[in-house]
Amino acid sequence: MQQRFGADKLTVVLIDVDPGYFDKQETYLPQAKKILERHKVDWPNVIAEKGFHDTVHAFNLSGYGNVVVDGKGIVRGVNAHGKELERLAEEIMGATKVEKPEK
Amino acid sequence: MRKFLLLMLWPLLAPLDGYGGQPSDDQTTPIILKMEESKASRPGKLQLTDEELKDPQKLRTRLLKGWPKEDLVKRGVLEVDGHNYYLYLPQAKGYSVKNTKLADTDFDNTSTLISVDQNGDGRITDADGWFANLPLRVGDKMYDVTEIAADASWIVLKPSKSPLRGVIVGRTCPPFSFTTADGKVVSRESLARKPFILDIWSIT
Repeated sequence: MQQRFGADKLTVVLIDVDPGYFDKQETYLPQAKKILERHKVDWPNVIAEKGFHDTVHAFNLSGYGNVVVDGKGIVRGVNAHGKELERLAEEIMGATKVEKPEK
Repeated sequence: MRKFLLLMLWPLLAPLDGYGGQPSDDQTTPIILKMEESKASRPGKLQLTDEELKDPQKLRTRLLKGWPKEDLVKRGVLEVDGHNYYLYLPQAKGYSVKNTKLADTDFDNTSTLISVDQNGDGRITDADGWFANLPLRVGDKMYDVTEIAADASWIVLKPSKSPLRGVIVGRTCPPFSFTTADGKVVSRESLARKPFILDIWSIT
C-alpha cells in the first residue's frame, strides 16, 4: 500500500505485538531485527511491549488488524481488508489531495 | 451497602446527576444510567469442542450453523455532546468492573464487556465492545464505569480524566506513542497531517 501511494504521501506503521509472547525484550529484539533486515522491511515497525494489552489500551483492539486514519486525524476504517482497504486508502489519499491549496 | 444506598437515593439523585444519562455540568458527578430491556445481540465467541476441531465433518457442520450470538439484554441511553448513545449489557450471571487477570486483552479480561452503539445504526459489532475495567469512550468523551447493578438495571459512569482511547470510525484517532526497535518514537503527533495506516501484526 505504501509502495503504491508513496511513503511521502501515506505512512504505514507496523505495530508488532510479538513482545507480549516473549519473557524478555533482550531475547526478542535481536530476533525481530534480523527478520526485518532479511525481508527488507523499511517502513516503521514499532514495538508494543506488552503485546495486545498495549493495543487494547490505546485502540481498544485486541487482535491483528488495522486502523486507517486520514490527513485530518480522523479514523476512516478499522480492520478493513482486501478491496475495502484499498478503497479506504484511495479515499483518504483523495481527501488529502483535495485539501492541498491551489497554487 | 453502597449499591443499596445508591438505589435508595436514586429518585433524589436522579434530577441532579443525570437520571437516564442526561449530561451534567459537573464533570465529576457520577451518572446513573438506567437500563431497560433489550433484544439486541452481538457476535459471540465461537467455542469449538476438541471433537469438532479433530473431525473436519463435525467442524464443517458446526461452522455451517453460523456464528454464535451473544444476547444483549439491557440497554441504556447516554447523551453526549447532544447525541444519544445506546450502551448495552450482555446476559450474564454477574457483572464486574474489575479485571482479575493481568492482561486486559479479550482473552484474559474478566470484567464485563459493555457494547456501545457509537454510530447509532443499531448493529453491534466486535469493535463496539468495551471492557468495564478500562475507560469507556462514548463519542469523544471518556467515562469510567464505577459500578454495574447485579441485575443489570443500572450502570454508574463517571466522567474520566483518561486521555482519549479506542478507535471509532468517523472519530478522532486517539493519541498513541510507540518506539521502534532502534529507539525512534512514532506517535499520533509525529504522523499528523498525513494519512496513515496502523497495522497490528506479529513479526515472528
